[in-house]
Amino acid sequence: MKTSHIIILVVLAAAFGIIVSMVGDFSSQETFETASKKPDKEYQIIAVLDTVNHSMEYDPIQDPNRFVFFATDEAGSTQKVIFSGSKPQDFERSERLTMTGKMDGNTFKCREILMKCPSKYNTDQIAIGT
Amino acid sequence: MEFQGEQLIWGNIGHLCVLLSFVASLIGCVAFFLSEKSKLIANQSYWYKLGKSSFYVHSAAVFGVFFILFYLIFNHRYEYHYVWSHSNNELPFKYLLSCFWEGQEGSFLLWLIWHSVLGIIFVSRKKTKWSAGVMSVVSLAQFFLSISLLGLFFFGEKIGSSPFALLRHEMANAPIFQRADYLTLINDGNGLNPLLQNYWMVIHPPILFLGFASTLWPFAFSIAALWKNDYQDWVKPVIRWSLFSGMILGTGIIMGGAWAYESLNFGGYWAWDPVENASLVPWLVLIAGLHTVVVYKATGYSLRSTLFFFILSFALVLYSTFLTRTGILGDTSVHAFTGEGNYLGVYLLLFLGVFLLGGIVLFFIRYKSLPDKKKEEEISSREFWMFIGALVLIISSVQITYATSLPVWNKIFGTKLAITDPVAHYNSIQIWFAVTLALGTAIVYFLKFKKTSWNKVIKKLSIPLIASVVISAMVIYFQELFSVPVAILAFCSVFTVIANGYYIAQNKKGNLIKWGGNLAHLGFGLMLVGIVLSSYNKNVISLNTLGVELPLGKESPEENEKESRENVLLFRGKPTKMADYWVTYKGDTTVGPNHYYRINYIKKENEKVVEEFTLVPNAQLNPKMGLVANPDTKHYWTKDVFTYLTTAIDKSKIKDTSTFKSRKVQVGDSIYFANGVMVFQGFDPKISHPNYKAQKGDVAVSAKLAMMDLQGNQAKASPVYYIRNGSEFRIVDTLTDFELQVRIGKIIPEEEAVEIEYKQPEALNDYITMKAIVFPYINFLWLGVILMILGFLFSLLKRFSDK
Repeated sequence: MKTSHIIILVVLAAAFGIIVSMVGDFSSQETFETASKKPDKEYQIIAVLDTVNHSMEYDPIQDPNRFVFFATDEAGSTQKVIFSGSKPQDFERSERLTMTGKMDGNTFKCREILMKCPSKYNTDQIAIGT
Repeated sequence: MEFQGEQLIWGNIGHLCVLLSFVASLIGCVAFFLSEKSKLIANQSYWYKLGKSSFYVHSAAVFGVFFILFYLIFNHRYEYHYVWSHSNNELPFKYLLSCFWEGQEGSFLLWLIWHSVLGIIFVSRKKTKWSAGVMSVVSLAQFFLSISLLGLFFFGEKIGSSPFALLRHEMANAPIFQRADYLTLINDGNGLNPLLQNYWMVIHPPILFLGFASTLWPFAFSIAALWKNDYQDWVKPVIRWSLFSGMILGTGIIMGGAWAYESLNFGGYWAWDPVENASLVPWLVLIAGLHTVVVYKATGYSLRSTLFFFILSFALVLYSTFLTRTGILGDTSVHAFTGEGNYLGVYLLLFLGVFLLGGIVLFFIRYKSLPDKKKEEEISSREFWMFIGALVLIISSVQITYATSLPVWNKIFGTKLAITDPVAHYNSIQIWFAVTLALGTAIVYFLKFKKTSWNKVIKKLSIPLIASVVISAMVIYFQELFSVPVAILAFCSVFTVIANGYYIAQNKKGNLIKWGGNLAHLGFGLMLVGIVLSSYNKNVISLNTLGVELPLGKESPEENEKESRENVLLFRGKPTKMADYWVTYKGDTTVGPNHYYRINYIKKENEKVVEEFTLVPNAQLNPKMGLVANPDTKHYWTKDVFTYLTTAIDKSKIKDTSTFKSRKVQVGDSIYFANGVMVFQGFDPKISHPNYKAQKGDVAVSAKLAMMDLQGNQAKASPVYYIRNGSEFRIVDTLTDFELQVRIGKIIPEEEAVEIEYKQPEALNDYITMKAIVFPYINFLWLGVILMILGFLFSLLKRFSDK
């Protein structure tokens, strides 16, 4: 075998080794129930904000980094979520939440929230002016 | 029913242009194809001429579409769905162009326009043996892109969406369209996303799209060469096009980073967001191709990889369009593109399939007959290490693409994988590719093509190597880069900068443009230095000191604290300590839809102010999107202080319950209030208060009051008291920064005294929460990027001056 081929193989092997070893980094999208089985691991949970049965709590004067709300996951279970940050603007209007964090008992301790708001190209409303 | 007030003529002409561009691109494609296939010179030039004319007609039609759409947006013709969706009456002229890249039709149009512009430049130059082949591919791409604007029904399936679709067709069910005069009721459009109303968003998308469009040429040249199975005289135009493409696409990507840093609040210039990755990967692959084509030119090696990389690069542009436009990224990206039905996904997959599979199949058909050197490269040769560098770029692209495509894998395999912390994930892998590339770019110019003596290399490299060890050791020590991978990257980046600088200094004969490659490599190194320093030592200084600690289950208390307390609460006028700074929220001003919040930073040493500045982050109150916050940044040579609002309260909901207090004072007396003191200095018969309009017969006087707050800030107030037609009037003077309102209650001439009334609206009701981040030495990043782009430019100029 040629020396240059060996070097190329080494480069490839090392690179793929690194990539494969990082697969352990991948987490998965779970529900509240499945996430609570491994409370040490961070998961993503996709959920919908529940404002009908529960209210949201955010008092920046008390603590600007604590925002509490309830969300319903894809399996239909509703849990309390504590987000360690300020309440995102327009949170009430969100359609879907992608939350990253860990379960702690019956509470989801959330580190990051990605919200999907209704499309800004809102096609079913026309503002009528006269 | 006859609808009133609609201007349908422009839409009809627009539709006609869309159809014309579609048909002309098809004719052009066939004509160029036949020209390439013809054996006879006469036939070749006949078909080529037809192709060229069709391409001109096609381009004229594309420009027609653009100008008509622009005209409709400019004139607020809301009977058109695109105009209504993406603009409104208030939109300033400078942002009218941004309407083109908010919508899907507009961005495909932009893409078409750049292909047309580049195509016109290409065909109007002298015809070469590549012209017909390249233009067949370009016309085929235009054919596919034109489909996206058709908006016609074939067999019950809607193909494409036209920018000239009417509002009443797109929303046929709305009851408003039962009325013939519906247009009189629609006075305003939906408006443009406030995030796009920013100067970066005027220039970043067109440049990025020009970059995407330009990757078609290296692709088309590769196809043309494989088609002819001829690789003579092919290199020169390909190197030029790929340098151009690398320069423009690189500029576009980094402008996206600059935009994110300047006007978004995710706190950085790069977040490994899928949409960012999707634009980075084609560039990385293109750069790999650029390096192997240079190897091919110099030595005859690496032709196969070059062709493969260029084919891949354009295919990846299409794949990234698929990722970002179809909504498949859904829950993983912050970018607001939404899925527009199944049609778009199918269409883009077809587009991608034709170009990727077509290219790859052709590549493998020709694979055996591609000229290749039997003798293997020397390990000490420049070409060998350039190839390794290209390989590393490709592997890095593979990793990014693999991880970014997780939602695609999930869809195919029904899995639910996710990356919970993308920045940490990508950084921890990509750092090793960056290390390898930095080392490579440091030494590659010291190697010679064909064969190099290692002894000579070591001798030449010894000075820059020693210098780099010393300098990077100092950087690592003083900047406290105490993490093994980060320290290694710091050394490699410094080494790249010094080695390339040293190489230029040693060989500084000839024109500056000869050193384009070195300059680009030096810029790359400097960029990495900036990335290392600004991101490893990125410091969130707004750690909160109020409130309860959140048990987050983090390993260390420090980590816990950092996670939970990145927002700080500021009451108006109450200085709060943040790292070295005393930070005060001074008040806010409203200009149009924007609320500007004045945040004052003071750094004191031994009670003396050594640094003071005010940042004015703003938030736009947008009825459609809620509150959109824009950061403000204090730029220093050595660091940036970045600040943005996370919560603001609605001022209209605050009730002012405070009441005026009254004090009788004579000249020289002082009044203490909550956060300062004022001194009555006497009366001023000359009234300067802007709210006072003098009238004949007025008796007016103003009080001179000098203020000083606890921090030593000074100000003057001059409330006015006047008698007009027998009644008293008082003009209150408001000092927002002192949270003070003051007026004259009564004048008592016999005692030479005055009753001063003052009140302080409760500051506790007015607060914001914000985040503040310090990015040290981020200017190295920007400087490095600029040098890298200049390096591309110089190389391009050199390739043009080479005869």
